[in-house]
Amino acid sequence: MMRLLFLCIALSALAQSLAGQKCPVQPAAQPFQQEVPGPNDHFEWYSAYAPDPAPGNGNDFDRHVRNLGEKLLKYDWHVGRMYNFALPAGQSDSLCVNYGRANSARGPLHHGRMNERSPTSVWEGEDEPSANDIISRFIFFFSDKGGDPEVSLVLESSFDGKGYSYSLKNTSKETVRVSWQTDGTVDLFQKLQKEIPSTSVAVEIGKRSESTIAEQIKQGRTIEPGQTIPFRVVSIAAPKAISTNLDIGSLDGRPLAGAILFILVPEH
Amino acid sequence: MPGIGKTLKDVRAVYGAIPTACGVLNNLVFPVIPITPLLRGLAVLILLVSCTLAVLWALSFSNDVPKDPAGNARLRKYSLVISVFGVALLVGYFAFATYFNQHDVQNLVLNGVVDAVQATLFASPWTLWSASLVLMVPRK
Repeated sequence: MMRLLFLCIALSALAQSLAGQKCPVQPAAQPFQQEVPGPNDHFEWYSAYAPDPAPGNGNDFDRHVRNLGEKLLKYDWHVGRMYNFALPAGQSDSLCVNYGRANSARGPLHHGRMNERSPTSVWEGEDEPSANDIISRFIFFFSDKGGDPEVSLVLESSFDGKGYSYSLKNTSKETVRVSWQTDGTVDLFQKLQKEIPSTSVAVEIGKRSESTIAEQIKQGRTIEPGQTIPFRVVSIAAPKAISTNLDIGSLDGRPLAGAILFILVPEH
Repeated sequence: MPGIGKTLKDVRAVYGAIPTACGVLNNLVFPVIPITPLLRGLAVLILLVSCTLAVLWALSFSNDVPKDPAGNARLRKYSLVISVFGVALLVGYFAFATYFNQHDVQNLVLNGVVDAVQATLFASPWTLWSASLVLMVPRK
């Protein structure tokens, strides 16, 4: 009887951990990956994709940067759409994005304090919404006195034919400050309470200064562990995808890491 | 210090803008002083503010020095000394950035301080060279 109870608890925990988490994926094509054993930084980057388990829901794109060295890693991955000011040793930032058709792109991954860079290739989605639901999950680590806390955020946007629903959920145990913007100035926390931006695009990774990101984070929202920030906007217009900047900082407003995530908006 | 408007009308301010422009250009193409893209925006901000202040200071200072051969010689000497300090800070930047590129900073706050110092050190040679160039140009 006790064994059965333990089994039920274990299965329940497993189901909960898998819910909404589609990465890592079983790659549909050869993943792009490389270990960079540089003299100053030692890390690995990885990019793969696989069809989403839900039929007609596009592909799941899985990327990560793992710090294999013994010191903090500062990296800026333009084509991977991720950055981190200080990734602790042994930890791995990951970005899981649900998107449309797969395409490949090349670009450098900048790392370290100088201008060291490594050539990379990534699998990325083409500019079209694949379905009526986009789920993105960004996990990163930062260095702290008490260890290396993990921060995990899930951004979901969906269209049900009558309106658009958005939710940003903090699935980690850390309270963080979050800035969610597009076009560099449009605060989506405020904008989505009234209307949906129609034509917007995220600012490329690395195109904003640390002070700009810090200012945006200070004006953003605090998200407690387990908290979800939902939005609902009524519109019957067909969906399209736009890119948004999700920047995360500590409670005192210091930028930690960020990524570019996609959401659905009405086409007109 | 004379009014900023009057000071900026001084044609020597243009010379002071040359290192500033070089610094911004370097930050975009980074051939001389390499810096991570994560700190480039902050570095350019510090560069523009500090170079503007340096040019204003240099114009003001040179206007206080008598316009005679002895005064010009004095300014050239100051200009040379400031230029050398600029080179020393350039070396300092490479030493600082290289050291912290190779060694760990395990504290997030200290990591931010190191970031700020690196961006300031990036801007400082260009700042000194801006002031130096303004002091070197003969006054009319």
